[in-house]
Amino acid sequence: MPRRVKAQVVVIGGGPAGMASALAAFENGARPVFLLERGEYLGGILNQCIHPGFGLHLFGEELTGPEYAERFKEKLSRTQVEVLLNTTVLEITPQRIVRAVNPQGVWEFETTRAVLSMGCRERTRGMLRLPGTRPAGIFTAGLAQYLVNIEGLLPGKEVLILGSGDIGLIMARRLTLEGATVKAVVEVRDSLSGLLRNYVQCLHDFNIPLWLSHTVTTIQGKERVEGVVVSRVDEGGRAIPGSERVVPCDTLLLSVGLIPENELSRQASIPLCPRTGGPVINEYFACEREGFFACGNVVGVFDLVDYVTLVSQGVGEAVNIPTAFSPAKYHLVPGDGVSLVIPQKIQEGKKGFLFLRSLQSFRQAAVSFSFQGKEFHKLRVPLCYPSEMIRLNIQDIPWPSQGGEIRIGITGERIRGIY
Amino acid sequence: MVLPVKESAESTKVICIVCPKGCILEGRRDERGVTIQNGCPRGQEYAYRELQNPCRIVTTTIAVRNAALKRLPVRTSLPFPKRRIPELIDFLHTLSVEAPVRVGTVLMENLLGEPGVHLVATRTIERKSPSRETERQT
Repeated sequence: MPRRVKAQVVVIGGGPAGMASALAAFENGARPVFLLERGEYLGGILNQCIHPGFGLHLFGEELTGPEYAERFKEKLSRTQVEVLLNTTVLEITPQRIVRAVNPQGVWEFETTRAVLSMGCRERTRGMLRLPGTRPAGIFTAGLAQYLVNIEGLLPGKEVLILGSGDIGLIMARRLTLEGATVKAVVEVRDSLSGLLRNYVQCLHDFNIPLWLSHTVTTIQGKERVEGVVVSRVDEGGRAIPGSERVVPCDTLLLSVGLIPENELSRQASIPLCPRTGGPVINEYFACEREGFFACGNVVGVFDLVDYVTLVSQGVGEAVNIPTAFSPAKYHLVPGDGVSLVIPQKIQEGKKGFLFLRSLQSFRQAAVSFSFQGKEFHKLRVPLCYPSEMIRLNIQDIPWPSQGGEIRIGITGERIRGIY
Repeated sequence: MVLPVKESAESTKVICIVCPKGCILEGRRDERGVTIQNGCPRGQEYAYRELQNPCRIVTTTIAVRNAALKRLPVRTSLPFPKRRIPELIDFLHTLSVEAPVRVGTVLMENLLGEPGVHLVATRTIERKSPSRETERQT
C-alpha cells in the first residue's frame, strides 16, 4: 500500500527552481510543503557547475554553482519543508495526485498545488542526426561536466566541441585545465551562441580556435572516436561540398541546446507551448490547468539562474493567490526575430516579468509590441544577443484595453562574428 | 566576420568584457608603463589590469576522503595571476582533504605565495555515514 499524504504544495525537482519555490511557498505560509528530488542531493545541475558567474543579479557577488545552491540548501534546512531525496515521481494525474517512489516505498500525494520544476535535458547526437559510426567518446557537454567535476574523470584527451553555447565554452576551459587538448569549438551559426565573457575567458585565454559557420558532418572511428569531419556551411546552414576537413580527436562534445523535460507535465494533461517546449503559463507561472505551476527551465531555457530563482520565488507566493488561474486577457506570440516569449499568457498586465530571447545578435535593436497589426509599444535595446534574455517588467508595458493576441518582434542591425 | 585578436606576450590588444559591447581596446607600452588609448573609463581600467597582470578566479576540484562524493569543488578567494594558473592546477591535483567540509572554509592561505589569494571550499560535504556503508555492503 502506498503512503497517502495530503499536502498543500508538492514541488517536483530540487534544482534552483524547486528549492526557491518550495522555500517561498513555505515562507508565505503554505503547510505542508514537500520537495521531491530524484537525485541524492538538492541543487540539481548547479552542483556540477563549479565555475563562477552565478548570483550577480540576486546577491551582488559572483558565486560558483555549488555555492549558489548551498545558500538555498541552508535556508531550506531551517524550515519545515519536507525534502525527500532519492525520490522519483512516476506519475502526476490531472487531479494532482503525485505518485512517487523512494527507498521507503511508494508515496501518493494528494496536493492542492503542484509545482513543476523538473528542469531540462541536453540534446543528443540522435537529435542532430549526425551520420557516421557509433564509437565511444561522444558526450553531451553536461555529461562531460558531470564526469570531470563530480566523478573526477577525464572523458578524453583530444577533444572537439560542437556548439558555442555557454556550456560548451565552459567545458573547453575546464578540459584544458585538466590536461586535455581542445582542438576547436565548432559553431554552425555565423555568430557566437554563448556570452562574450565566456568566449574571452574560456577560448581566447587558452588559444582555442572558434570556427563559425562550420559543423560536424561525419564521425569516424570504430571502437573509439578517431576523428570528425568538419565542413563549412552556407547561409542556410547546409554543409558546402568540398569544404570538408578531418580533425583527428578521441572525443566529441555536443553543446547543442537544451530541451525542457515535460513527460510528467504531459501525463497531467498540461497544455505545452510548441515554441518553448514547456507548459503554457501566465504571469503567475500558473499552467493552463487548475492547481499546477511551473518554474525554471521546465518552462523554457533561462540563461541566468538568478532569473530562475526570481520567477520561482514568485511561484512560491502565487500558490496562495486564488486568482492565479483566472482566464488570461492577452496571448503573447513571438514575431520576427524572437525565439522565445515567457510567459505566453497575461491576465491583467499589472505584475511579473516578461522574458524575451532574440533569434540573432542585433545592434541598435528595437522590441516592438503590436496588437491587431498595429504597433502600440516600442523599446530600444542598444545590443541584443540570443545568449542574453531581455527581461522586462510586465507593468511597464502599456497593454491595450482590449484583450487578444499581442505579437512581439525584434529588429536591428545584424551582428555577425564574435561580437 | 570579426576574427579573434591574436594574443602574444607582447599583445597590447584587449577584448573588453566589462559590458556586452565587446570593444577592442589598445594599449601602448613605454618606460612609464601602459596607457590605454580608447574605450570608456571602466573598460580602460579593465584593459589596464589585463595588460599589467591579468588575473582570473580559478575553480577546480580536489580529492576528498571519507565522503560519499569523490571531489570537493574549490575556488580561489580572489583572482589569481593568469600566467600561473597551470602551475596552480598541478599543485591542487596533489591535495586532498578529509570530510566533513563546510562551504566557505579556507583550506589553504596565500596560494603559491600569492598574497591574499586563498583556497576556499565551495560545497558542504558530509562525512560518509557508516550506516550507508553497511547498507551498500549487504
